[in-house]
Amino acid sequence: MNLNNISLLTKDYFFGSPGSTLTGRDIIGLHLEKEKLHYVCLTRARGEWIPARPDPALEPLGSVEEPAPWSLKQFLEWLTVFPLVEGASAPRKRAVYLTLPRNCFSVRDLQLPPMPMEDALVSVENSLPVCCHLPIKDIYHDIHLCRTIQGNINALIVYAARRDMDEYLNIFRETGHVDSLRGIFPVSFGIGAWLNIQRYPMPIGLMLPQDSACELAVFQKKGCLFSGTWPLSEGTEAGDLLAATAKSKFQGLGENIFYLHNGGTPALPSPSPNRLDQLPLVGENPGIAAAAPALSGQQEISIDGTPPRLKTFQPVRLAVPLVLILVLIISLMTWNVKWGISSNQKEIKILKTEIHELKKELEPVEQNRKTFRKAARILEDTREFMKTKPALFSHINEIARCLPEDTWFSHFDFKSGVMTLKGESPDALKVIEALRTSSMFDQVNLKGSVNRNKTGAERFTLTIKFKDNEADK
Amino acid sequence: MKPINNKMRLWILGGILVIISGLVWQVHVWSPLQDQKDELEVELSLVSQERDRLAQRLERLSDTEENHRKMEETLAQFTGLVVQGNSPEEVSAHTQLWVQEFLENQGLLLKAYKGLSPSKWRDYPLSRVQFQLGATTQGLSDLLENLETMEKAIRIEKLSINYRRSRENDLLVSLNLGTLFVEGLKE
Repeated sequence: MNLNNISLLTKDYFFGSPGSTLTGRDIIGLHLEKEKLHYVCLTRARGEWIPARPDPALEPLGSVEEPAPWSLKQFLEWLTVFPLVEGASAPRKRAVYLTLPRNCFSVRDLQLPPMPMEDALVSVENSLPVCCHLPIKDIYHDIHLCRTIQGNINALIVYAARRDMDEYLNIFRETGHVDSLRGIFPVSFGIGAWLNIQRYPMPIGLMLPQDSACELAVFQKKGCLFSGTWPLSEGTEAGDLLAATAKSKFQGLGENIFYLHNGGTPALPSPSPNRLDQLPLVGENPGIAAAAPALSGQQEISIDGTPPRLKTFQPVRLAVPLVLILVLIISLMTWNVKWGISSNQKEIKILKTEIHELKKELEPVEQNRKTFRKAARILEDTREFMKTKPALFSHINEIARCLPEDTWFSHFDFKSGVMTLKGESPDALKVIEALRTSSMFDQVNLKGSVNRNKTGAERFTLTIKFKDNEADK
Repeated sequence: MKPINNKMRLWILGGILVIISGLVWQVHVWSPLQDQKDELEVELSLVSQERDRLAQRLERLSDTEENHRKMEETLAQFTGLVVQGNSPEEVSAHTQLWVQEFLENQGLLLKAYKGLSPSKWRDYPLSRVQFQLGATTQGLSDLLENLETMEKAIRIEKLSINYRRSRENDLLVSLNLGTLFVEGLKE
């Protein structure tokens, strides 16, 4: 399926006529002439419209050589009968388009200023009683609206007598195909759509001889702009006059007017390239013209009593895509958040593993640090303890240094930073004074009484207090 | 008031169904999932911070070669200062051995020794040993000098010296030594 087909399908969905879309339906294009019925049956395969048998006994393309309308009736009866044959597969849904010669219809053209298409439709409908030469109640009509390049709206009122159209509609009713019928319209409208599909330069005029009359139709990309007829008996002069009028009316038309049949010149060149290469040319089988409006996406008209079907945007048809988009968004959001959760869980798991590893790695390091701190603290305390060591050796030496001659001690006692000494000296007070000169001692005191012995020496007891050690506090 | 036709009713019902479906999804699917995601994001942030903190700490503690050296030095100093032993009694025994060895080397006479009940210095136990010995002035001087200058956590708690006339060792000395005991030295 190429982009063009997708585009057409999308356009058909959102801007299609009211009712069911073409999706899933076969298209049967019928062109009814006085002595012959041309038919084309198409089905969609791999995004393209290809010929397909409408039933096992009928070729995909062909004609029924019977006078109208019996040829139509016969063809529709075949469509009804053959699916009932034993072994035949169930028929697919169909969309049937029927084109008739232009002289079965009357066409009136109107020019409207730029305005919305809906307003233009209402405006044209209001002018029907004035434009149509038959009473409204006696006709079926449809309105073909086409916006020109300048923005004006070209309206064609196509109508026909009810009794004429009912003849064909009754055939559809009798054969049970009335529900499949999607359009009855002049063949020239279908040919215009076919020219658009084949991408002929637009605008283009086409001379179409049909039965006893000849038609001049002017087309542009969006549809038919003009359709006029004259009896063949009036010769080509009438056609030339109409062509001159059309040239003056439609800018760009110029000499772009061709003949389709009857060997008129200039003849319509074959499409190059043929974009419907699997289908016959419109000159070979006009049934393709009946199917062409559906294939090209142009406005479909039908002169069968149904109201005009203007291709407008159908907001109702937005519902399904909107719901689908909503479901898609919701699914994406849910998936996104679930993905986020899953991603976070994985990341957390990885991080927790890393943390576990780090803790295992850190544990001995922390233990070492703790031990180090403890050791440092104990070391500090031990050093403090070392400072509390009494320097007895130094103190005793200091005492020895300070003492006067003939002084000696017989008893020495040290406890809690206090030295108690018992000894003899010629002068106890001199001993005290001498010791007090030392900076190493805090207090030097005599303890108890001083006794003199037989040799005249004084016996005494003294206490020496060390200076307080801060570490001991 | 314009009556509501079947088509309009269908659309209204469809719209209500879509809105209700959306609300059910919001309440039962989206909100719990979003809450779970938010919680996980917070947890992820916390776990991430914890990981970074541990990584930084490990880096800070691991990369300090100097710390390691300091630790070694500290431990060496500590080991050098403290008398080895797992209990105050064991420390006392080591102290006693050291004193005995010293006395023997100095030719001093150890008459008696005994372990005393441990006291305390700050929060540390202080094992105590009492020695009774006979010494010369020089020997005692060497002992005291050694006790003063030695780099060990041993200090003199009590010292008593009595002079007596004798052929040798004219000093009768009673020496109480206190040795700092540090628990967890093995660690």
